[in-house]
Amino acid sequence: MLELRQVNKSFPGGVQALADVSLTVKPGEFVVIVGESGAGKSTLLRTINGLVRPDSGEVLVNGHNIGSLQGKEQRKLRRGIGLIFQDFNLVERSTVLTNVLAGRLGYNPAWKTVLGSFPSEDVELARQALSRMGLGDKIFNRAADLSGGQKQRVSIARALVQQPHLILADEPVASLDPPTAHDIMAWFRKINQEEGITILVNLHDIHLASQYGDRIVGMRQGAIVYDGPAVSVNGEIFASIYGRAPVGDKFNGAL
Amino acid sequence: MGRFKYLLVLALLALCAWQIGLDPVRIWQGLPHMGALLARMANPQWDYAAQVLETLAETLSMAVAGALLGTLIGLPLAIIAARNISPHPVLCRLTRWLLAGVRTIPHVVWAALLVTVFSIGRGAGVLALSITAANIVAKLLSEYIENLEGRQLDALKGVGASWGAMVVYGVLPRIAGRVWSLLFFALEVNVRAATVLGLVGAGGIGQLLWRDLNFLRYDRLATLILILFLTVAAIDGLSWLARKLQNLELPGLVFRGYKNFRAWQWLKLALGAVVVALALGWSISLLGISWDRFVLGLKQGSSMLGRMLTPDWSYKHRMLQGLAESMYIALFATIAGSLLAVPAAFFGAYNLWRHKAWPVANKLAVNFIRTFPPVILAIMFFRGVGPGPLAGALALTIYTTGVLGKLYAEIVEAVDSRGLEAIESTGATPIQVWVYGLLPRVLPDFLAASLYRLESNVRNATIMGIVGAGGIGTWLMLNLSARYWERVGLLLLGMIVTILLVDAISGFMRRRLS
Repeated sequence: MLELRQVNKSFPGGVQALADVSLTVKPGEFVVIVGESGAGKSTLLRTINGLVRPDSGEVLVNGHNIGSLQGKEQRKLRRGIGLIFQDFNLVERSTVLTNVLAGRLGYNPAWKTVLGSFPSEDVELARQALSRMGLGDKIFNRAADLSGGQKQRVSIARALVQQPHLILADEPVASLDPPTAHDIMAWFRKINQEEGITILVNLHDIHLASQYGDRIVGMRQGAIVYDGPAVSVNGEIFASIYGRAPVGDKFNGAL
Repeated sequence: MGRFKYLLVLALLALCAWQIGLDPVRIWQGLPHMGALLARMANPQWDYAAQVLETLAETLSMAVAGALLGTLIGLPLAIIAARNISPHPVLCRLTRWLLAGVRTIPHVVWAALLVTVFSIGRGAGVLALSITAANIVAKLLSEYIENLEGRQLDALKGVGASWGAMVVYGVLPRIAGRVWSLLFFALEVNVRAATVLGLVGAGGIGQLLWRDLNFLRYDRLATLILILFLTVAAIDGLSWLARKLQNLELPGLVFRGYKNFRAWQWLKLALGAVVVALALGWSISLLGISWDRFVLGLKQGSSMLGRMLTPDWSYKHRMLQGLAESMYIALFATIAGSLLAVPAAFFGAYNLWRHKAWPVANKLAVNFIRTFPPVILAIMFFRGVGPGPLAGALALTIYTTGVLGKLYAEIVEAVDSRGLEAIESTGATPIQVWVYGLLPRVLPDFLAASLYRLESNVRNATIMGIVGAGGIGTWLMLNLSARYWERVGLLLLGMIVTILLVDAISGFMRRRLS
């Protein structure tokens, strides 16, 4: 259960990234957040796991106000939230396995992990996650040697070993070619359906969004301007999100 | 306004030239003497060279130990000083202040102070080199860490990793290559610095340099300078190779299972620990300072510091005079060096020439010039124009031309060649391409590089006096050898304030440029 109550956030320079945002997400939902770049989508996701502290309002994750937590408590809540980025954020020089095991850092004492020591259950978990993502034969490869799509699957595996109840993905396919983008989106849907993990994905492409999301949240200038089922998105709603009419009959709104 | 600015700079150059006693006739008449010195280098005294080798080995070991210790100390300091990973904001700020403070005192001055605390010899030299190397590594590495994409660390913050785990999994693997290249950069800097530390009694080849200079043995000096030149060039080459090595792709290891993988990790960890322990042990043994001597030194140091902190204000006339002279030397060298570096960059940039012979020859020449530490160059100018600020300014000008010639050429090479082709396709001559297409685009970067050089030249100008090449260093040396700490304190205070002021002004101007 995730709940945002009238969250506001401004950055130095006067940009209001979040304007009075309220949002409730039920467990197991697949929500796609759309909007132009700069609409506040990234800030919204980063607020949910506490990387950004809101100026006002509350962010409740399973009833805990993540903004009020510090240190160990905050880390404990964060380890239950998987995070996926546009540019993968893997350590290129390290092996695929080490990158995935990093997802277990929040579960193990620091002094053990700095020596590279993880419990055998964790290693097994990482192995399973990797073979599930079709990378079972790459576990000892350097992350640098993988293709973009493979790298993004490694970062999904890293999120999976966190055994999260929630996965936040910030523009996960923006650096990938269209077939690979669909492949990655299909993985999110599969994880959502098979394990019931709640998923929030940021996309700037409403076409891709309406294809995979159950629920669409449209953002413009830091505010939520649409929140409803993907099927009812029409030209008018498109215009309210992007500030212009769609081109052609489809929402060829790929910006 | 634009024209006016250039006139102002030229007027400043003229003022500096007048103040340092620039006299074309004197330089012209001195040229044959300097030529004779260079001719002697072509004809080295081999029997003297053999004598030099022992101290050369000591100089090199000092430089290596200083680079190793500096890197080992600089790495944790960099992590503490980097704003995005520092364990605590207060600790971060304190470390940055400490580093900035230490940076205002040039390595030779550190050596001179440490010599009086820990007795004459290489120990003081190694300590001085470690201090400056640690500072270089900490500053450059912390900037590098701060430039890591913020999101790379967010990925680990997001999984709930602790601070230690973030450093080990997020920071160290990403900076490993940089640490390696900084180690060798520190070595290059140290080799140049180590050659002059002996001038203040901190061991190494500088002691011979000092002796030959005092006895006016220019025949021996020529041999010595030649050997130094070859050594510095050899170390630069070695360092270049070592940095290339880092880009070498190792064939991927294949592990049969997790156990093998862990064994390999342990092996790497153990090997790393052994190498670090050996480096540390060897460097510390080279210091040759026993624990008792160290404690005694700390006692002497604190009484010395106490006297320095009660400066002798009646000496302020000399301090201001020395500082002004140092500033004239630094400004002259920076402006004249920048002007000379423009043609050097023009001939040295690969992308401006179809035939690569020009830039290759030019780059060789520029690197040749850069190899001589400024203080050594000043000694060579003594032969032509005699000791004094003129020799210091000319030496620093040549060194600046070398450094900026290289930097400027790299800036020109970074310019997108498509824009140049657009101008070339209008039928412009190379000079027209340079003036209309390039200069306006590279000028801000040129100016920024020159301002950085000014900061470094002010430091260089303050130590020129140590060999008698003018500036505040003259009075510093005099009072250091007389152990007149109240006056040393005042001179250092003046130096620190001046350097901080110049850094602040230059930093402000650089920010305005970008």
